Amino acid sequence: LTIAAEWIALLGYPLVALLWLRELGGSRRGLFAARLWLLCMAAGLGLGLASCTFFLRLLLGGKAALVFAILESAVLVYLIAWRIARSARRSTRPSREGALSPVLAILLAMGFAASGLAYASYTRERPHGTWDAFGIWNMRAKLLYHAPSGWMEVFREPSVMPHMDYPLLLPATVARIWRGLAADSILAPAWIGFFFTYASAAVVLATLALRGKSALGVCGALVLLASGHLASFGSAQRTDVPLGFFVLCACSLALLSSPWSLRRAPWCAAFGLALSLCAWTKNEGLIAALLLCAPMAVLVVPRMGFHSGSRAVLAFLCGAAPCAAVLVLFQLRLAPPNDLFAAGRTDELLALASDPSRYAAVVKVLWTKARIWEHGVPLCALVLAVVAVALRGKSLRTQERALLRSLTASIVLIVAAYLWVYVISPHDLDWHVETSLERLLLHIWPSSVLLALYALREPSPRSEHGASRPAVAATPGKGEATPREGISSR
Amino acid sequence: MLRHWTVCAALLLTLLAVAGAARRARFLLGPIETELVEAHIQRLSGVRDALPPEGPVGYVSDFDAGASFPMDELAGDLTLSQYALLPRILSSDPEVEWLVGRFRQPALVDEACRRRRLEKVEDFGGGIFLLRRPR
Repeated sequence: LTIAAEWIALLGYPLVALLWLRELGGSRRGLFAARLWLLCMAAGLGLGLASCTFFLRLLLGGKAALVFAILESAVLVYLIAWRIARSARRSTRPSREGALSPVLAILLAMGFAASGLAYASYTRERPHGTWDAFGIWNMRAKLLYHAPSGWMEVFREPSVMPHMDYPLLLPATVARIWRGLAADSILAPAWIGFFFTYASAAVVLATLALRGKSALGVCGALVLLASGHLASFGSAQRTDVPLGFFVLCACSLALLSSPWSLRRAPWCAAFGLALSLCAWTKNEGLIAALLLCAPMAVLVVPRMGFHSGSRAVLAFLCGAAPCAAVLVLFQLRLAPPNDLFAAGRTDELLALASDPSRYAAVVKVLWTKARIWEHGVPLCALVLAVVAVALRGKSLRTQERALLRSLTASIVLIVAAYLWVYVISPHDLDWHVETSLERLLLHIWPSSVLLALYALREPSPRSEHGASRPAVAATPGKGEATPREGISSR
Repeated sequence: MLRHWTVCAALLLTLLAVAGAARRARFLLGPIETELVEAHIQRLSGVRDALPPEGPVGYVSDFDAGASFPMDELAGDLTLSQYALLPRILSSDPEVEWLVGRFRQPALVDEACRRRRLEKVEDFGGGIFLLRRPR
């Protein structure tokens, strides 16, 4: 019964997310990009939700956990049946828009295959991942999988397991798969890493293709695959690639939420869910989530008017609330204080933050430690995004321009916040920068590539007739009469 | 014209991906050494099975015998041991009855037992011991 409940949840949440996102749009028959986007997005968001409920169930423990599992399965089965019955009444139109040219499709397939081989090679070399993977993430997954008596005490007295304040999306997902398999197979974290690695490239490709920029989408996916960072870090089984994926999901949802204003409530809810999953993935994800919200609140929401704006904010909060609640529960009940912000460091933090020589020291260390390939490539994508948005901004519609600027500003702010953390770090600066900078930049890299290429003009004859047309057209929401904008397929 | 540039860029990126994969291919084709973590799990499998099914487990290392290994290495051993011993959780409680000894220099086990007043129950080889605190 328990194994069945695990599989119902592991498959049910992605399926519910798929049917829900399909209703939002992007479901045209024959449109490869739309299907790819739906699959990746639904699987990512669904696995995130499954990890939240698994953690809740573990907290309940005993008979309450069994009742929770049965209820969860029943609700999922009902939601799936209801959504399928609802969507069966709707017809979809086949479309060839956004299709790839054969040459680009072959190159893309070669890129995925080559990168997949590299991933397999890394995984064979280190099946348990790198030190962070088995020392933090897989260790915690094993703890949640076995959940021995007194497992919660380990969080309160973290003598052997370090960084017990880190959120649990990845460990809970892996543990849930292990429960489904009834064995702690080392293949599970490797496959989860594989999914997030290639789903990141796929979402960049699909998002751009859905906006009629297939060639740029192929280039974006190939940039991510060709550098080797993604395969290397994905196979390391750490949370940096999943966090980069959820930041990318948020950007993709925002960019596809036609008419570029987050006006449609379900899109705002999905955006909120993606951001809350960022925070549930890693502590840095909380910074990313807050900084993706702030420019949006300043640049985009005020243009929507009071009624639409408040509706969008309410939907966003509804989407973010479930995972945010689980995160708060985790922080209040289990997590010890973070080493950077531990109690008693307030005076030290203020002293470091207000010391100009500390900033100079950070700049110096960054300058000496920075390497072109590891750190330069993601930063180049970000610089390209900033330049492209600034130069191309005037030719975009007002709402689209505001949204692109907001997202680009968010990514820049995230990098700035990450660098500022070095200023207040209690650790040796050389060591801290050396061991973290490359993976931190991985959080913003797929999004930077997406934003940079989104702002560019598609090099095809179609785009010469004006702004590129979305490959999927929208269905206006209730009370909205914008037939060309949006993403559904009625 | 622009379309051609895009195809050229895509071709270049694909070649980079293929070259990167080819560089890694030797790891796929050739034999690889037994991985560090797997080796440690195997090393500790005997003591894990010998431990009583319930209750906390302590940990003793060269550090407890006064040896001066780099702390990073000893901390790494501790992390690996915890990973290998799960679902048993290593406890920092000094009064715990059953302990796992992991020694880089196995000869140091007697000194550690003397200092911490423990008795050696079983030697699993490779510097792994099952130790017990007499009641």
